[in-house]
Amino acid sequence: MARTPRQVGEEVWKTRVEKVNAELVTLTYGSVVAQLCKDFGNDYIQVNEQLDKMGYNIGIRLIEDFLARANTSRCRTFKDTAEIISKVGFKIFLNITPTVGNWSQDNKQFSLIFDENPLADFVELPDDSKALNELWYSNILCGVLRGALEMVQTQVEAQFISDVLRGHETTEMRVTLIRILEDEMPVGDD
Amino acid sequence: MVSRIYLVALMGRENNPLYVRSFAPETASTSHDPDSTGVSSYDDSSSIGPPSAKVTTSRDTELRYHFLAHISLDVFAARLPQKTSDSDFGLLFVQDGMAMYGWMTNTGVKIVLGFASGEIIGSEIRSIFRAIHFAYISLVCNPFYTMDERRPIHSRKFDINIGRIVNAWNGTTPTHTPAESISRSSAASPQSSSNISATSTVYYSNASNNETIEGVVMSYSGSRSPSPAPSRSADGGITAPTSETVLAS
Repeated sequence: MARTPRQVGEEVWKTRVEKVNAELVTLTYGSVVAQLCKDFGNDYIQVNEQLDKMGYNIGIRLIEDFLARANTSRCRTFKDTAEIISKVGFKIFLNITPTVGNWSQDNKQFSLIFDENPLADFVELPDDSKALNELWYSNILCGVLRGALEMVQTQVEAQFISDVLRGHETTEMRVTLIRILEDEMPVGDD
Repeated sequence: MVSRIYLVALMGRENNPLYVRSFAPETASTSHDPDSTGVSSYDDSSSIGPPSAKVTTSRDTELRYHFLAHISLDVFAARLPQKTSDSDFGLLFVQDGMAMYGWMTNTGVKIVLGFASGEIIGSEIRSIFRAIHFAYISLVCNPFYTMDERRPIHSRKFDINIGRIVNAWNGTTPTHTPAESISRSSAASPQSSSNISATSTVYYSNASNNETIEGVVMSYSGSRSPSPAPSRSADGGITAPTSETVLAS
């Protein structure tokens, strides 16, 4: 019986996921970002890149966990992918369901709109105007998506375009499909 | 008539002042120069005494409140040996028409509230203290906040939260006056007012799972209809006790 992604997500969250204290995650992630900022001397562009790299490394491993738990069928279109990401993926790992929206004309770009972001609880960006204009606090999520999707033959680019920590109205991540990766034949002597 | 909060002060473990903020009614003409220490024009006609309908200067009021905060430190130190478990120190003392209530956290941070005299119910005080404590906790949980016990607190979010708590109690509308913190005044941006209601509820529901806090804070704004800026005659009508210090035992 085909179930909607939302139902799948709820069911997996309730049954097959071990829970951890949210404040532990928030404080750990916060200290990672703060330490990165200190280490790179407040070069927030570098910090964004590092967060993206860290996220990528998490994503390539996380996808295995996700596929094992969620056990969903293969996505036929990019739209299916978006739905699974928001209703099942984020639900299992962060217990949030960002809204999918703002599809582009060719259906290759969409936005994830976060109305709550557990990584950014209690956070107040430092008062220098650099941080407010340059740092994407939750950039690790972009890397996670990029890494995870690359392991399922989907090359995407993900970046934040607005963030409530920066004073915008919403937190929004833009995901763009670059191409579907074809499996390349390993070089061998045929 | 329930009295209003005129002073919120936080002091650190080593009795250093972290945050002193006055909510006393002042004339609308008081301007806050961001370059100075938040002190405006000096008016000779003021006097240190019970809050009256006259013009009270920022400098006088600020000094007085610092003074009162320091007196309360003595009371904390004196009573600490007998204190068993509770954080609530209750009524510390009464001076100059201000009743001071204290609350000490387990980490040694002391919160002091100064009320203009009037009736005050003990249980409601606790909820204000708890709300301020949670505002402090959310400040500390900010990963970018350098946790230095000596430095005074300069955080816009914290200012907004304290302002919201006190204004909800006082039944006034938030005025966005810059917090008269220790070394400089930071101008609160007016456009953050639209975010106050949005951030506040999310704030407390995430800060703790203790739903009574959120319920209590919301009930302040619900039960008290926000009155327009208090008229001077109402303030003058507050009966002040004698100005001698009364140490509550």
